[in-house]
Amino acid sequence: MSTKPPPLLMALTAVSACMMTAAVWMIFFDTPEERVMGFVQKIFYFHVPSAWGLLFYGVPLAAVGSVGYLATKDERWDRISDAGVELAIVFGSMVLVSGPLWGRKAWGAYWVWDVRLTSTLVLVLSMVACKIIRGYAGQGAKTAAAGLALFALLNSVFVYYSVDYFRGTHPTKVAMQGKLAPEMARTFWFCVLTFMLTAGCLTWARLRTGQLRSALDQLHQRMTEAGLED
Amino acid sequence: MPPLPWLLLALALLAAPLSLPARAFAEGATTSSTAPPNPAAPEKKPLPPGFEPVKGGEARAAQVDANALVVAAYAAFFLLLFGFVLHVVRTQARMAAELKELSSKLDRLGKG
Repeated sequence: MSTKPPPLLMALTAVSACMMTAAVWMIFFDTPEERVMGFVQKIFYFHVPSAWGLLFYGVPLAAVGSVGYLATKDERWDRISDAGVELAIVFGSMVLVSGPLWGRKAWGAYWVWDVRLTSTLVLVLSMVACKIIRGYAGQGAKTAAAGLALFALLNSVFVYYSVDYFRGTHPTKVAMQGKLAPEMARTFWFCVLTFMLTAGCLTWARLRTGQLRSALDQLHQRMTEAGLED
Repeated sequence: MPPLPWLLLALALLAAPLSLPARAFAEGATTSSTAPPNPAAPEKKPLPPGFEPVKGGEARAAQVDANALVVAAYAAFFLLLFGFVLHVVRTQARMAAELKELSSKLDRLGKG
């Protein structure tokens, strides 16, 4: 296989970098401040898309890969699951860092043990556990990690609906219910699009890492058969 | 056979706790029926439906500098994103170099 990244991936990455720059410009220079929360509300434009990246992209991708792996035991499905887990950790970390910073101004506290916050923390920790299990649990690690990813998918549904059923400190789904002013909505949906493209590029790149690892493993096996390695 | 005074004392001790709730109920009934409600007394605050709001949160929040929080949040976003991209790029570069080395070794072996 070719060790050079595909030109289309490079082009899409360049486009997503340009969109990310444009998104930051729109957030700080083109979108008005919110009346009650003021400047700190600017965190919203990256906080929510990264939360959606966790709930609607990373975790479902890990779960789809897990179902495929459990059904077929094909390594390619496991690579998809692994990529989903890593993306979920990245997006989840973004949410868990930016949320408390916003909460410090909005609520006067970095963290409250609200249902939405706590279940999101559990979700991200379960993704981290997936990664640890896959790396260190030995035989059957991939199956165990796949099972945990499916549990995480159930938890992600709980995280999404928790603000409706347990009215706590965390606000409700502002963007989904069309409660944004048009100039804020335009910036927000542009950020969502940017995050989707970025997530797509990261997945492609991460899947290439899996392919390279697989090719490397095959070569190591050939070397062992040829008596060049132990 | 126990003497009668001891039996009476034992009965009185057993009956004493039973009479307490009845007495309290009777007292409550008399006070509620006779004493008018005191308007100066502080009203009992109803409990929130499930969560306690953060105490003193608004006062603390007013003192916090929003600029620093927003800068920190966006710095974290980009650090995490570029950190992940850098990790993927470095891993792929290392693997590509190893693949090249192993392939050339195997080629030499095949020719030899």
